Amino acid sequence: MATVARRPARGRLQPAALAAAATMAAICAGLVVVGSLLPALASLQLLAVVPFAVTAERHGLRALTAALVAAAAVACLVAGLGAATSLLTLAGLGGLVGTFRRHGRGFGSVCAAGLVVAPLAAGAADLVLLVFASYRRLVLENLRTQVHGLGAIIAHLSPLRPVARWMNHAALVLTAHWPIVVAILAAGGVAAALVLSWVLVGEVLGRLRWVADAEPYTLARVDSHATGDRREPSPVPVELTGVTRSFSGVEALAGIDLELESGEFVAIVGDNGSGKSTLARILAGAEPTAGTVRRAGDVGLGRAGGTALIGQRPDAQVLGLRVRDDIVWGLPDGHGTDIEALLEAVGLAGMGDRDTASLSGGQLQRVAVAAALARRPSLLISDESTAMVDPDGRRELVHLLADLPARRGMTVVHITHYEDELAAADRVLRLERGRLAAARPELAPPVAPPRRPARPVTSPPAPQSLPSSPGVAGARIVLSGVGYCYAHGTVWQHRALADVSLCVEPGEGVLVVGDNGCGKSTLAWVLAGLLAPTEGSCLVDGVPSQRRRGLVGLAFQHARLQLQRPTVAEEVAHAAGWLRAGIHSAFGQGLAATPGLHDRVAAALRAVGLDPALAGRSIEQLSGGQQRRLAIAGLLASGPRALVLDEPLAGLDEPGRQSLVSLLTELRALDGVTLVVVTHDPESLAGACPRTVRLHAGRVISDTHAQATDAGQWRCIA
Amino acid sequence: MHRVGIIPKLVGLASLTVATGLNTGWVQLIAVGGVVLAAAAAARLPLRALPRLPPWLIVLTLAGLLFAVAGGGVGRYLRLVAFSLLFVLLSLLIAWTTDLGELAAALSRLGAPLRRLGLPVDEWALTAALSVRCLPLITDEIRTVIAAHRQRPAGRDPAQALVAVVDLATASMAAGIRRASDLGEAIATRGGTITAPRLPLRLGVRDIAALALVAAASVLPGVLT
Repeated sequence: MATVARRPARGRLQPAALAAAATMAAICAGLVVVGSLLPALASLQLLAVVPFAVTAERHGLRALTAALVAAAAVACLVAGLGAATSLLTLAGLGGLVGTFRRHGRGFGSVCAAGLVVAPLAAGAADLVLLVFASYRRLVLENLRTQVHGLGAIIAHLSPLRPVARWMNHAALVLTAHWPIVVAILAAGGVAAALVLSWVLVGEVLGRLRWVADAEPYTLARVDSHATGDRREPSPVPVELTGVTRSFSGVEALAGIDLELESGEFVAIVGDNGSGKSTLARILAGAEPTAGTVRRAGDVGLGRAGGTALIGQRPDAQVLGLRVRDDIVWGLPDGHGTDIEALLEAVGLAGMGDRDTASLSGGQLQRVAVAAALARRPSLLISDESTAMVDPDGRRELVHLLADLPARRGMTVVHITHYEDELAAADRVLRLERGRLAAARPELAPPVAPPRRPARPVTSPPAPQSLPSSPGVAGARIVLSGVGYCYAHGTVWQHRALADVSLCVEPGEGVLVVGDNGCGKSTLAWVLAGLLAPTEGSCLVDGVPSQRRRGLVGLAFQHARLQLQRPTVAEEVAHAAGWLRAGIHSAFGQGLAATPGLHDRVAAALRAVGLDPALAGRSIEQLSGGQQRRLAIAGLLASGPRALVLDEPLAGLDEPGRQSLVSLLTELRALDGVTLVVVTHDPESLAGACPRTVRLHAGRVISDTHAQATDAGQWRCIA
Repeated sequence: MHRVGIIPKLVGLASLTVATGLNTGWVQLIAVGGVVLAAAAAARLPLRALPRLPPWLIVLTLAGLLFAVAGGGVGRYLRLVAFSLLFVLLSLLIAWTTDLGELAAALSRLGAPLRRLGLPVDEWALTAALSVRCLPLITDEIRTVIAAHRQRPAGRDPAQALVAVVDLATASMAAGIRRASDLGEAIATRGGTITAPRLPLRLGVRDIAALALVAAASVLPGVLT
């Protein structure tokens, strides 16, 4: 029943399929390992059907097989052979369901497949037990003994004596006819699992259909080794004429004319959604919808002498477990590369053996530059590589990039939304809604932040559950001697927080800063009651935070992970707890039925500067910035006494950042919400939160108030 | 134990599992116990790291023991429990002492015969290497999805629990698909999938000793009884 590739090895997996197989394998392995190590969560294992089905549906059986082998290998090492066997079954089910979905088959086909698969499963189960006869006998005899023992005990009560006799008889008959019993159980189990999987996968895929559309214009289908273009790489000079790229009818880029010479440092600026990334991908070899791209030779993405690309999210582009492996990943002659010299060139001398997981965002981006340089590219494209790096790291990275044209004669295209990074560029191109605005090198005046309308004028009377209702004050949070260890009491135990004592007064605004891995995020989880401290206590208005979950709302860095319901309106209503009654509301039908809900959702959306017209949209259709606002809207609507935000500005462009900062400032000033913000960018947020707590290696090393008139007002004894 | 390669561990785990399936006698139990003890000693497993069973499991096991005493099959029962515990412990030891970074090279080595059949073993090894790389990021995301769910006002309705499962699965998948799309792009920008990681992987003295030990523990009890 397992899907084994029958075809010989042809038609290699493309990067997109390979990546999907690897990611889904990791999810499956994670689920099965958790399920088999913690018996209470065993039912989680069935969920692994979904990633397998998604892999089969999107990328076919070859990708599914790769995912199965990878997941089984990981699971076998971490949780033993049993976990690997479960994966085999789950991959079979997922593969069946996913393949049927891929070919548009209906429930009837699944039932027909079940008629074939169920007897096969029964036969396989019997065969295994036949071979492992010794183990089978041990288990069956134990079963009989147990029933006999239970019978002997209850037989002391005379009225139950017939029951005991009957139980003994049943156990004897069932174990004697084990092949039939096992066959029925296996066949029934597989049939039920198949139907359950079909329903589950159908529901999930239905909701995910927007993700496919929203997926970025991916380069993963540009495999320069597969195109058969064996010309020498020569990506510059390049000439773009009338290049247009549209997605489902909407133009992301329109009529771009652009020439790039060798050895230039060109900066491209624009807000989120201006088409910057799309332009980067066209330069890196993706096909435009219309227009022409003329180059001397092949674009050679990732090949020696070709094009290199550095992306926005530092952790997303790391492929190796160690720095050394990551730099040469994919290089055919990788072992001849002078890694030390490359590391020195990017300012990371001697770090070749470090785990990539231990590096900060800025360091990872420099590893990415080193990996690019290892290919001696003619064209280096930095697609917002500075967006998620702290200010110091940002300056160093830009300096490094600006040096390359002169030192190594390569063309560098740096895409950014930071105006202060443009000074070093030979040329500045400005993109506005998919069009090149003007190629002027001087700085444009800073964009005015779109403020949300003053609430008293435009907002309807605030509904009761919103925190703006009068009389609700922020919470006081007192941490005393808080420590936290992950995997406490196991061999994997490691400390994240030690002896943290803090007091956050009602309505206060606190920034938590520190290096990667200093315990910032753990502190946020403890404040929100999602982790119970291993030592000390975290009291919210005098009650341990883990007992008053929801009172302190936590907005995670990755906003999509916070959103749970399919549409914007349902999401807000669900987060706020406005929907409670049964299955109808759970499936979204309660939304229309609950009176007044529409207005409350609209008010909640307006409160975070989102257009109420978005209420009917799928959450997958929103941009990253909109998803973050939606997550905050949901938290606010649930009426929290305090709000904790983890890196709220990461990945937002300048107008987005400014409007979010003013939103936070207003929340605290007007609504008195206690605010704790975890960030690596304290400069932008100092206005909203005057107090700064710095963590290092899990301890508080400084606690300062910005020079503000209200510094005396919040005196705090830490 | 930390320095024993991944291949003896995988082969050892598989052969002990199969041997136990075929022979559940006392001699086999002692052999498996010996291997686990030797591994624990070699790994210097700290005592505090022994897994603590959840209370309900302990109660269940004790109840089983009571029934076994009443039913007159204590020996059988103890053997079954001992085997289960030993294999949990062995898995824990392997998980603790193994560098998952070697997994790809081991798969590539162990899959060599399959490669001759035309199966894409290198592709599998590459997938395994990437999935090991993704594992910490993915577990982190799933942990966040579950935490976000726990933040919400809880519904007591069992139907809502079912819907919550779909919600959680969808959020994890959406995050997974985005993660995969980033990863695919990262692979493409490194020039696609032309090479699989082929790390040099030799069997050392420790590996051969470990292999000999598990081979003895798997085969000898069956021969003796």
